[in-house]
Amino acid sequence: MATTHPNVLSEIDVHGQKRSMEAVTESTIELVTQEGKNKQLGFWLFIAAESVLFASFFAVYLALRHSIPNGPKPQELFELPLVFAATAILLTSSFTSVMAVMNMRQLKSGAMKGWLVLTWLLGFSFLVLEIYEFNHYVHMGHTFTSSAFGTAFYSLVGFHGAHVVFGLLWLMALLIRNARREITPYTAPKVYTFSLYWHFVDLVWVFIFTIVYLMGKVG
Amino acid sequence: MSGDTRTFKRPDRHEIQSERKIQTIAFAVSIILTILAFGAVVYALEQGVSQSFAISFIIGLAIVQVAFQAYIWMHLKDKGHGVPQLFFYIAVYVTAMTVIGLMLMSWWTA
Repeated sequence: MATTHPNVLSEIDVHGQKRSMEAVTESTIELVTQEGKNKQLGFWLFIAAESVLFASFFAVYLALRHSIPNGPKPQELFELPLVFAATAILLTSSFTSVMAVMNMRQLKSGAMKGWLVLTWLLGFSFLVLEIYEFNHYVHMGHTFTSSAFGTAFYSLVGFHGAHVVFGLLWLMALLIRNARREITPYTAPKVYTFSLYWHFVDLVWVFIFTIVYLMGKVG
Repeated sequence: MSGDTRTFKRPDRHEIQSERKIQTIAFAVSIILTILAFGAVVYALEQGVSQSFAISFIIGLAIVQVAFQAYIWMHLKDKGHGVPQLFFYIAVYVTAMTVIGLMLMSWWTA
């Protein structure tokens, strides 16, 4: 069973079809090395810690969202079509990043990079929408210091936006650094970790669009 | 670790097809739940549905969507994800306690 490259050795199974021997191992490429396993475990611990951080921002927002002595109210500010567009874009980018991981597991380097580039472009579009939105709110008199609601809103949504910015920088670094590299058990965990991060950013957004925007509209 | 050539599993065509199907279903479910949530709010605003009912409904949808994404897109459903699942549940527990705790405090003092 000892083989130098997993894709070289193959055998004929009972149906006369060629089957590769690597099927005997259970781990996919990103989790086959100890380093890959450690990265996955460490990253889940990081996600748990980040959740607590976001929980604090959500809790503060929920406690302060009615504290608006002056300045526009959420009902006047939020525009559902814009929020829906941003949500659809971020959801789709989360889906494209999982497609990148699917292709990575099959060692399809070109397809993986294509899906990652698409993920980056969608993430960037989301960011552009958010900057437009914040700029629009500031012109309407809703700023970081206009009310406790304003502070809580920009802290929470802005912190999420900062995560999107960081994710875009991370993904760009990954794409540039690995542009000429093959998919190996060394490079795969890097892409896998990024995809976990990107899903987490999308997961937080699900609560943001529900608790901030939709609940803001309902009252 | 560079140059590690240990044997790993490369999913065959059937596995990848079924996995791709599951991922796509998760995407469709996410989009449908999102449309439902936005639709519910638009409907509630037009028809004057009770506020608390509308809010519990959309929060319920968000929880379902997050569970779907965590289990399918973030691979928690896959084998060997016991410890990540544990981390996830701890995160959910602490998050819920933080949010509920601070909301109760702010209600009592308001």
